[in-house]
Amino acid sequence: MASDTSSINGGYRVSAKLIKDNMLIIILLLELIIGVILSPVFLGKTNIQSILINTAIFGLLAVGQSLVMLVKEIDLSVGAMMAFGPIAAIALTEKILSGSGTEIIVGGNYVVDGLLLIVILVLLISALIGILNGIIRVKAQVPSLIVTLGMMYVLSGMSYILSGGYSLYLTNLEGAKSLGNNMIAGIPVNFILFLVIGVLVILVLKYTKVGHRIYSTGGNEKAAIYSGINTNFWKIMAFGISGVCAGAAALIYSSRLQSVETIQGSGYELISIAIAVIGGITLEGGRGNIFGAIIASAILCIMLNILSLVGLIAWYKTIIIGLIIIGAASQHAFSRRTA
Amino acid sequence: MYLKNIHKQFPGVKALKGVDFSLEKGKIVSLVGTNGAGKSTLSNIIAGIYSPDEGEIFIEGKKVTISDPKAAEQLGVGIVHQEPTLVPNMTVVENIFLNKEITKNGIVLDLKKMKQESEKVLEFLGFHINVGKKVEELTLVEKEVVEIAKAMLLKPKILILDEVTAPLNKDEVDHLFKIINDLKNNGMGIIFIGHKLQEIIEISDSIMVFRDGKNVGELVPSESLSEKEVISLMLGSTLNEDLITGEDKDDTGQRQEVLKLAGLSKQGFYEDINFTLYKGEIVGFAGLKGSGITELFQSLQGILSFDGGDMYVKGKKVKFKYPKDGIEAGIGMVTNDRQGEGLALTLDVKDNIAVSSLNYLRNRFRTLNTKLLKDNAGKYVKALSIKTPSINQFVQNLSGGNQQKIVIAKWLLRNLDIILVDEPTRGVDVKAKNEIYKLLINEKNNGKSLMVASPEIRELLSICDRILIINSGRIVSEVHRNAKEFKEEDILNIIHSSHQHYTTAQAM
Amino acid sequence: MKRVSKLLYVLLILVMVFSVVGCGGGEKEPAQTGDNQTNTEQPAATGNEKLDALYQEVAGLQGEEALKFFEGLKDKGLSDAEILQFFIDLPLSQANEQIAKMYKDEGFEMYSKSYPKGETYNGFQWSKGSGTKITGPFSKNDLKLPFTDYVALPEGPVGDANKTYNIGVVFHGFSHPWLINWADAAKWEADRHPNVKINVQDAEFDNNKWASIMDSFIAQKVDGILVWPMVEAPTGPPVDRAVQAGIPVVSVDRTAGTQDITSRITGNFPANGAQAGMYAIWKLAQEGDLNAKVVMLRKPLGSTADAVRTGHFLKVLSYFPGIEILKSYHDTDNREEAFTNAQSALQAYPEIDIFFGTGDHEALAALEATKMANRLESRKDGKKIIFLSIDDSKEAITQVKDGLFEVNTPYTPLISDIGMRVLLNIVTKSAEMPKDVITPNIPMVTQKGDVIFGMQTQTPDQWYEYTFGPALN
Repeated sequence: MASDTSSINGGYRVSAKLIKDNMLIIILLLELIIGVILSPVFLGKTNIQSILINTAIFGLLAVGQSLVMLVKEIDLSVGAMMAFGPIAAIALTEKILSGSGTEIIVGGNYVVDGLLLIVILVLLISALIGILNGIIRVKAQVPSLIVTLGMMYVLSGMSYILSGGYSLYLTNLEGAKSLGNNMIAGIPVNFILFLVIGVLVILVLKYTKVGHRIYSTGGNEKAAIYSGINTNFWKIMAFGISGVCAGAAALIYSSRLQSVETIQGSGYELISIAIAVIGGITLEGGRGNIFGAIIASAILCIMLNILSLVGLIAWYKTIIIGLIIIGAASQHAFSRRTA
Repeated sequence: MYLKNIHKQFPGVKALKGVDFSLEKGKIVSLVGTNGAGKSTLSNIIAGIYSPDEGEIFIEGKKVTISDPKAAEQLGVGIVHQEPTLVPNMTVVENIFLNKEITKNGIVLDLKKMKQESEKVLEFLGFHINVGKKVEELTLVEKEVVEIAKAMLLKPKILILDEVTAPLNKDEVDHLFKIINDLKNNGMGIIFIGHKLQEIIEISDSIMVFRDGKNVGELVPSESLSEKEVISLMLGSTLNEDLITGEDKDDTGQRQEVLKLAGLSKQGFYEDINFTLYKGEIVGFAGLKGSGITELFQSLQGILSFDGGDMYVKGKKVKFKYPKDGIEAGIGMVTNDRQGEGLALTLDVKDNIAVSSLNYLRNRFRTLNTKLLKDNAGKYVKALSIKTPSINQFVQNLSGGNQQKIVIAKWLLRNLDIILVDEPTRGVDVKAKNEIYKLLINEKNNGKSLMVASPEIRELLSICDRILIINSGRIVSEVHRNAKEFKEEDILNIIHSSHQHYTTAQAM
Repeated sequence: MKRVSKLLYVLLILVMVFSVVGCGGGEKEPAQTGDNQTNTEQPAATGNEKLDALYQEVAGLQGEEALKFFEGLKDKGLSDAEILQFFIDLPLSQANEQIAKMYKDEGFEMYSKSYPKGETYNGFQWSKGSGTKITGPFSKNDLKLPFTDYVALPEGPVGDANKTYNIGVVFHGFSHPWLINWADAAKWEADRHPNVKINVQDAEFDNNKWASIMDSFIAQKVDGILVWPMVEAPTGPPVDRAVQAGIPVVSVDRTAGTQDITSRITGNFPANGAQAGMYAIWKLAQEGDLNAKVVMLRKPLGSTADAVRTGHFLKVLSYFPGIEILKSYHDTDNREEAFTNAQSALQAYPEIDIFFGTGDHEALAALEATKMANRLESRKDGKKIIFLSIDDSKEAITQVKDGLFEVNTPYTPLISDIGMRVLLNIVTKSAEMPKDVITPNIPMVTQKGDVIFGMQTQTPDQWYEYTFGPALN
């Protein structure tokens, strides 16, 4: 059937397929063109840097979320993790180093020391919480929507308890602002970090067994089990990596704003899901790729930037984001059906 | 390979009750039996999907434990499952090499080598499939071939083929059999599971017959072995003839028509169904799983729409949009999935019985008449001898037979003229079965018309006045009670022989 | 098995919580805001000789004597504004030990010191009835901006009439009545000047978005930025970046976490607290008994609004040993929570004389809960419970009018027009602006209009037109 029609109007088919397969790139390019037309400062150095930093934060979350969605799960706790990770890490660092007489927090809420330990602990704590999400998911057989929703509340509650609701200042912590603000050849270091992580994940998924494990776990769990794959392990891994990504995003966020807030990152779990969906990852699992998610995070951040440059009121912004999500999801579904 | 005294229990079912089985190198052993006889359970035990509760497994003289699919693989067991085990969004290579990937230096995948290897396997099977294609883009046949290639990849010593021929047409089956014979001649032991007896007789070195979780005999195919012999062994000699109550009502001219289907079709499920149901009869529907009977019933009640032909209820042309429409026209359906569709498990007995009739249980204030509801529920609990401590008991706490009676009571209370029953005695014990049969016959005698579908031919023979045989969504035969074919063997014969035709048609 | 493993997970979580709580939280020192570390030059004395002399006198007084002293302030020749200033800067007394301890424990001194206080720009005094009626450009609410005469700027082009001045405005909450009115006032002022173009951006309560918007303003090289920072810590770095790029930044209401901001317009939190304290003592004196039990329903712990208001309220009360603070309840700026807190208080304490709420939700929630518990007139001799409310929502002012709230001390979002004028003055270099621009104090609102320690209050009808939000039906 399919071969008949394609031979008749093959030329049209090929170009249509080209557009369909590269839809995200095309949207990205269109956005760049629109940006240049609408605002003279769009291509300015500071503006591009600001876009890249945001892309790094949202992109990291989206990469983690995408992995979780590829194994047919969902992680609603990443936003809350962005606050809990740093808050718990600082509290723990204070406790650990208080024995050696080093003061970590002075003047009530100025963090002044222990940066390295804090960074390590942020990543470690986030990874452990992710793994915990995964373990509860597979062992207690609770849907991840519920597990991570619960975790989201637990984490934000614990963030409040640990911080007492106060913000922590990192302005007097040496080196704390480098991740969020330093540039290498005009490119934010955090964006380079994000690219490195993103490319690493893409390569691992494509060129090692891990990719087959993840895609088969989400694509047809029974088939994976029949092939002897420990799907539970890979689900837990996906949650763990999502945790690490949330931790890394939290580090960039806190470094950029040189502070830690109990409310930071709230709502970001939904943005990360939105990006993953725009990038072509589906809720049914096993479908889509990380490259799409990375492009989608750039698309979203550039769009937000353009909208704020032209001065559109937030109401319209949210409507536009909503329409893009619905549009992207239907476009992906449509192109799959007609493939 | 040798298996000894294998037992396996699933919640509620004893799937295998002490099975012995042996397979020699270079032989093909077929497993046959009715649905649920234990064939697939046995093959899954060999493939490491289930572990046996009891019994021992020997491979090449050594006692082994097959704890998981990977272990089975290492012992040289390859399996093609009855259900699809391919990941749709992955390519053919990725599927064939799932969890068996070849790597350079242990980390990076050797994509080139895997591609060559999978092409080699497919070539050996005689198929040219673009291995870079995603599985979801393949045809049914190609998918089946990939499944086989996947099992063949590690050159297993034992190969299990569970219903692999279903989607293939005659030429493809012949081709496959040629390959199987080649493999056999190379010393591979093959376990072949199937429904098409003709094929089985053709390919096998011996046939193991399963009934109720036991192997009841071994046949050696020869020129003289007929399908009938196999079937009678599948069914056993203990036919339950005590409840033959149907009657022949061939005299259709004087009888009142209640339902008429003219060329009813639903693409992908059933086609061109012409059938008339008369008042006061029970018509049986026989066919294999997936023959379209369930979907036909669903269409008649309005759960599923039909896209061709006409349907008349008492002479009036109808087309239902919702199940409600069917009920209002007097058609109720007892589903084969009583827990999923037929009952609200967390509600009590009385509410379940009354749920379809709430509009008729109102008092003069148009609100629910709870007393009437209780009285009615009580009446049916008694009439159908439903064993429940009270009508307030939660349905999930009752046995399967009693749950089934409640589903039936639900429709009796509504006093409908046409009752569709899909697998009336699924998972119900013998005693309850008989009670349900009596119930259905009683309804017929009250002037109701019933359509009953069941995979158990004996059941249909017991209660039906005539039986329609459906295959691939078409009526292929109608057998009246007084016909000489009104026998289990003959009906099974029709089902199995017409099956071949179906798959040929489907593959195109 | 499954149950056992579930139990293990619960335990695991609990262990996590406790291990982290145990090591981290505990008794944290109260948050210090912004520039507290350097801004310690403010001495115990106010620098105002007249007031300092009075503080010397009042230092040893307590109870009835202190009351008499307060009542005599007018006769000592103090103006209304000076009387209020006296109560705002009043030192803490040790007379009420409970209050003194609480004041110390919660670190109110620090908040009080770091919050900008002092004279208004050019000594401006607000007079009743002044201001300008507008329709909110965003909300379409009918509003009256009270302070349009403060740092006045005439309509028409500013600075170089041939130049267009681009102003960025970033805040949170187009969906929030208080905040949208904040944006209304800023836009109204900008719209009065044809060569001013503004871009108002809503960061939707996300500090990262707030920072990104700031960065996009910097990229656009706007001429000035007006901000409403939700919190201090994360708003510091973006403001610093803007200032470093040579763009003046002015904050209105809340403050950003940096000392380098060009200018900040702060509200009258200290007056709110002091006025509530004055009214409480005055009212008790009217009733003839200076013994009272007080429940405080408060905004989130650590928020500037809560700490500054509560601190100034407690300072006035500290001179009266008969006052007992029953308990402080905190909520997260949420009326439901405040309501639950009020219900708990009513359950726990059979005798409550005063409810003090530190935000717009708290007193309203207390009134609702009290009505529901049928406790409105549950004080000795059937007297009504006293409700001290802050933040002049239309609803609160209506309660004062109906006699259900004894007093309201207004705090208004309609001060961002001041910020816009200050910013425009800085941008066009037409006038030297102080770093801290103090919002003029507003007289408290009582039902009849009373004279409290010599100060004239205003009636609900007089203030109603200045309140924020959509009209009540």
